[in-house]
Amino acid sequence: MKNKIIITLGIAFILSFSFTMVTAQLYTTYEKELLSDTAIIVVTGMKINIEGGNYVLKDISVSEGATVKVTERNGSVRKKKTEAFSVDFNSGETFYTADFPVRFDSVYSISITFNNGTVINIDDFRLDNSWKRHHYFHGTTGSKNPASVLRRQMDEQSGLWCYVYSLFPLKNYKLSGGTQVK
Amino acid sequence: MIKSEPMSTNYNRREFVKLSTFAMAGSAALFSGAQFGCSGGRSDIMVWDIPGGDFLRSPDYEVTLRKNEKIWKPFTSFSYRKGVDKIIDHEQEGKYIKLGFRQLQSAQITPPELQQDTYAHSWACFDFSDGPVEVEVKILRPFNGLTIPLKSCEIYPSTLGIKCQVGDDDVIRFSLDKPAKIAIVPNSLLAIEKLGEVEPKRVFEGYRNPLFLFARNPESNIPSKKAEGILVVKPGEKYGPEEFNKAQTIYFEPGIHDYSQYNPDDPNHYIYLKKGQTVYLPGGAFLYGIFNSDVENPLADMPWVRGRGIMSGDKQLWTGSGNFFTLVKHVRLEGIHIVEPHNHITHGLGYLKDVAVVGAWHGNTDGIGKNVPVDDPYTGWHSEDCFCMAGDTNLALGGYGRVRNHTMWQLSNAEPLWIQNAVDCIADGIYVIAFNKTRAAGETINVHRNSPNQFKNKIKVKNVLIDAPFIPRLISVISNAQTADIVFEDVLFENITVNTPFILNKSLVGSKVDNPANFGKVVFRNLIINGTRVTSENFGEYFEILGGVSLGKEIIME
Repeated sequence: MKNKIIITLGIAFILSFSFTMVTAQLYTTYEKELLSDTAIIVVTGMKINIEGGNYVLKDISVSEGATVKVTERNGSVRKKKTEAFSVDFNSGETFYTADFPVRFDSVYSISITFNNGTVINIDDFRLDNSWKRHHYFHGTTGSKNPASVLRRQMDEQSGLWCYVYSLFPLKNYKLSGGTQVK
Repeated sequence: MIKSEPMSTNYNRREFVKLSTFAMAGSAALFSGAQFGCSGGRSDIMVWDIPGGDFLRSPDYEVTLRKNEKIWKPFTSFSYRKGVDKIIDHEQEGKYIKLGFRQLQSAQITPPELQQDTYAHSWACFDFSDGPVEVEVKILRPFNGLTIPLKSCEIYPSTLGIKCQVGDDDVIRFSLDKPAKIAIVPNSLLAIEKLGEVEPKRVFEGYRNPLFLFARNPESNIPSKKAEGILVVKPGEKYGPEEFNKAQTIYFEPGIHDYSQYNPDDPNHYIYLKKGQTVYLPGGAFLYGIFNSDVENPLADMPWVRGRGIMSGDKQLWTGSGNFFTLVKHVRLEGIHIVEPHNHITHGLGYLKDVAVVGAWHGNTDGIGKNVPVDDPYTGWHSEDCFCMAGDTNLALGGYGRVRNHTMWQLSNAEPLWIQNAVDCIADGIYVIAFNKTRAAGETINVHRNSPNQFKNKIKVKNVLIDAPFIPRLISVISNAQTADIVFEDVLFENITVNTPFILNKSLVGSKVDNPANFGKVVFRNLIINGTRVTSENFGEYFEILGGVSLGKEIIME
């Protein structure tokens, strides 16, 4: 009987110790990620129809085949076509995005060229370093989920929108389904 | 509404002085020929014209009032859950928005048929004396989620005992004997019936799109437009801080006034009021604007915003500091309506009476916070006879906060009543009509203390009626303090009546930490849940006892 108690206590101690270590490890990883200066922007396009009562219908298929260009102030350019990211839960449509790492507090010009030739530019995109915490928690409904910071721009003539979501840290990008940025 | 005993003899004297002053002012105004209410002079029932602009007429409800063969039709307005963004940059004109990944707006918009919570509501108001008034509510269209022909209709809070009849023509009829702030919920019983069939719980029928009706006593303190020091503002006129500062009373005439971008030097665009100043919003006046003052105390010095008009936060930015940049700071409110708040309504010492809040749809649209940090010479109620719809915590009490007759329509986020850091708090007359929290967690009355501090935590919560068809949990009284002498010195829940068929979790009392501090004492006196009085014998059916407490010692059932 005494042995059983000792064994039980021993197992409990090992489990407890392991849990503590894993938690500590996770915490350390989390803290390390906070030190990173790199966020990931997920650029996509869509057409938005606002119906009576302000209910929004979106068509995210318009971004398929679009080209996204990201230009830094030093002139370096990155450019690629959108790829399938994930399926929208409500509409069943596929998001097509071009994803790029960017640095906090740096200024970028972002442009998206749709298949119909429409170009939308955002010339002064900059993520403030102090917004890092906003990326962690989406507090608008009290929930604590990975959040993003959005910058968007519309082309009046075509009614097309460019949506630039930013995610931070890389872990949240991956948890959200991102695969383009490794 | 439950009538409570006056706070003190001192309060009685103050009330007497105030009422006498109002009566004298009213008499003076009458003799000086001042206009009362809407065009046509004073009548038994007062309704107001349509403000116009983007203030929407209800497509769902129409209200008609009848008395002595006369008919009145108050403007019935409409509000719905709509797109709004929580911005994180003041300086860059809201170019950057905080939101969930792949969402379009911070408060996500989905068609009504996909929404689990209240997605719209209508409301109307009127003043009357010498009831009864016959009220007719016509359903104008079979809006989403409503079964037509109507099977039933209930009027809440049920403590008022207002019974209605539903006609074959889908018209709801009832009689009002005295002023009240009520919710009319078509097919309320059918909604409860449907709840038995679904998990997770959600709102059905009239709870998805109710009608609120605010019937008040006639005003008695209307300022004269001819009085010295008054600035009469016509719709469309623009005045700046300098002109407002010179006026003793700012009188916004009926119509639309846009002061949402009032002060270019203030990113929050508050209309700053000074000691002794009054803003008067008559019925039919609609003001896009928010108020602030530097008069933090005593309460008697705070400026007023009063009348029967409407102030709106619809054009203000929803920022990340909803609890700080409230719609109203250090200003007293009486009789007005607040619509489409962008942030919390107010906190602190300011006094509210007879105020109705509607159109609170997104996170951070908390209601009234009475975290009264110091005991002001004022000994009355900090808020009374208010109706509050809230998308976040509806009523927050702390310090010496004292609130009575508070009616709540609570959406799916946060709790109806939250008490923390109490010194000596009283909540007397709390009516929870709806608490639409579809997620399992969350309490209707949340009392907690997490850290040792100087607070005595004397709390009285009494005369509570919960009509909501479902709630996640009734009560939590939790302390996680470990070093305080006594956590809850004296906590009393008295006359708590719950008419809620679906209570998803047991209530909680106790501590969740090791070595908790001395919990103190919590008394439950006359707690009735769905017709059953909760006693020491059946306590376990309704409550979960956490650490540091035991029934009969820290938890007393009376």
